[in-house]
Amino acid sequence: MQFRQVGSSYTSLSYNTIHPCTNPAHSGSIVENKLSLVNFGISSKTFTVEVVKNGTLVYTESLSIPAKSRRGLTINQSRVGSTARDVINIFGPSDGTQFLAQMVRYGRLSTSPGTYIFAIPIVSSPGSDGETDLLLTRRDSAYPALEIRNLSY
Amino acid sequence: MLTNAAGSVVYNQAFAMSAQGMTSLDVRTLLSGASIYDGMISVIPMADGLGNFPNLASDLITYYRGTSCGIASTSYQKSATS
Repeated sequence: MQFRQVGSSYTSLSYNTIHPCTNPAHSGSIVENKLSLVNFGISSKTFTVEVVKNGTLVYTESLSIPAKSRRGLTINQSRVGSTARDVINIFGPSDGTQFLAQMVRYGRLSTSPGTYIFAIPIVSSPGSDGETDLLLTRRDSAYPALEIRNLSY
Repeated sequence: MLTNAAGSVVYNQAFAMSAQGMTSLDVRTLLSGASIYDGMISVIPMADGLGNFPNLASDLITYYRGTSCGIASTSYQKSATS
């Protein structure tokens, strides 16, 4: 997983609570999107996290993060529903303070919540109006899924 | 737009997205019938009627669901934007 500092005061991520498993034994698996925000600055900073669902802002949280510290936030099915996938907007300090926003999408068995069946790292991006190229493979029974988010208002 | 390892375009489709929205595409379905195993996906923003380009971010998540999805290894790939 990349460890990347984000210089911009804005970045975004996608969340998805739809479990991808095809095994019937995993039906109803729990998907949790766990966001980490790290303040690389030398003083406490405030970050605003916006969760959008179907084009509507459904959740906002303001997080005060001390210098050189991390805070977490979980976007799970109880917060957005079990079949939701959409955009998370993150607004950091506008003074140039560097911060990291990254998410891991975890899948857990509903019958055994301590058993994790997948973990997908998602790297934040402020978006671009240019072309983005992504490498594709279908070897070894791979199921590629392309997630595109439109960050424009 | 999807291109195979030889650089030939095997899929090219435009579609609309709502503002502050996300869509997920099953690439296997898009490539139904095409014998492509390795290649590249290019996501190309298109201007609206006023000439404004959208701000897009794209992720490709590769599931190895198999028959168990159990200890499925999952890869994530992302490129820099041009």
